[in-house]
Amino acid sequence: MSETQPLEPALIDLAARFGDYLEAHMPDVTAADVEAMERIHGGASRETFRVKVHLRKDPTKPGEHRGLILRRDPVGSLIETDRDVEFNAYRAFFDTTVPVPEALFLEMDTKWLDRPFFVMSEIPTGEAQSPFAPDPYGDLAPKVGEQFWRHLGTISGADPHKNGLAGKMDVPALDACWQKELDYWESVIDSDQLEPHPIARAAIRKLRRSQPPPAQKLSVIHGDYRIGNFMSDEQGDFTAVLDWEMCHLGDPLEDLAWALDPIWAATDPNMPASLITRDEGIAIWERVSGLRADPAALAWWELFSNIKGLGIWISSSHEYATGDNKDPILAFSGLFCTAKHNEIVAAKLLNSFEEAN
Amino acid sequence: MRPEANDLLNGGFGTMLMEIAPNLNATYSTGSASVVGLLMYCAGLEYERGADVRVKENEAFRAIFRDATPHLSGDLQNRLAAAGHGTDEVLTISALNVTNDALRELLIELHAHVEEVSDSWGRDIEHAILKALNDSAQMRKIELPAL
Repeated sequence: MSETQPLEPALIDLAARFGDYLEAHMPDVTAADVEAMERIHGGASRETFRVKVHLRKDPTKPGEHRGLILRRDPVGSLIETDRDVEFNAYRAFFDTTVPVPEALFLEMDTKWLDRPFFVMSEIPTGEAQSPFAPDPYGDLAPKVGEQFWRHLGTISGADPHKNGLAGKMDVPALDACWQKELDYWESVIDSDQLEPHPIARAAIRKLRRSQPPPAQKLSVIHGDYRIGNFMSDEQGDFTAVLDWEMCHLGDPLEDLAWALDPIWAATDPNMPASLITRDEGIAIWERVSGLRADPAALAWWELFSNIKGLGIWISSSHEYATGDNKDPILAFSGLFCTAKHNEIVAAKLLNSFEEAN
Repeated sequence: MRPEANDLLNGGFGTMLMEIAPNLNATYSTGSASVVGLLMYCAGLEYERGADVRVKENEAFRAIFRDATPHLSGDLQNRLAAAGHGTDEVLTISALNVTNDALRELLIELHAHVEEVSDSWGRDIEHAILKALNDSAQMRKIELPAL
């Protein structure tokens, strides 16, 4: 975005108020002029704005031009999470080998921008790719793929007691991680379904009949680690892991299973995120995390991931149909992704039954 | 009506993606316009197949209920017997949805019941339910056009 591009008329007031906020919260700054602001797609759970600001400490001298990302609570949300979850996750992994933007401000007072928000540094290079693009990385896929699984291994291997997240999030017992998550996502489906979902219900019953083993360790769960939620540059170097709004503590296989979900593989289910093969990815994850992807346990978490996905899509349909948020991505997620996950789960249930009988 | 609604929606989809979205200045609006185009595509698909999918599903669920009824007793048997002999007389999407939702609720109840039955008839009904659900998912899948 050009620094000289005029502000969209709808954002002039928001930009001025954001400048006021920065002046009030950056002690050395005497003037914060928002030079450019545009809304971008950064997940349907928060309104996301890319902002260019001119920060001056001395009015007589040129200041610093800085790129920021503003994430404001929406009227309605695809995923109902506390905004401090994402903020704390960014802080926990900043200055580690996992690239994340610097989290700067978390503001709960609605007097500034009407709704709570947080601010982080803009990552100047790289872009995210659509999960539905047929070959988003081309020849760079092996390089990006190695980083994709390595960073997830690092997240899974991190100690939430050491990085501070255990003091800020619920700490489930190792043998209760699965039930906490399954109970939550079943409750989302219970409350938000606009129609009966026999495929999801059958899968939930199956998950409850065949419980997984206790978690190997308590891990930080990114919660939405997939293609579309990381950025890489033209050389195939990771520049950021984004969208930590569903971050929590739990079984590390949860994140692995979500990343492996076929819904994130546009053309080949054996190539999650359209990067490298599933087996190659799991091997990297195991090596970096020091954990083991037990096949039976992973299968449980993969079916759970399908249900978690259905919970998100059913919730997005509900929000679009009944709420104030008419972002078309909510409707598209509700239509396309629900159909896709129903297809995945129905085939899985049928195959499992026929193999066992 | 010619052109039909699905033709209109598909035409709108192409216009949104190829003409309108690329010429919008705001990044967010460009993305939203593209997604609206995809929604028009989905709506066109549903216009064409919506009634057919629901009628086929309803009949598949009713057939399962008819097969299960002799093995059951009590309230569940009575409700399945009644539902199994229903028909779709009004073919509007809203009317079909009311019936489809009711049949799906009953299918969930029957499925949970037969999962607890160890007899072969229970396995047969469970197998039929899983095949019907798989058929349903296949009928309702959305293949995105190559862009």
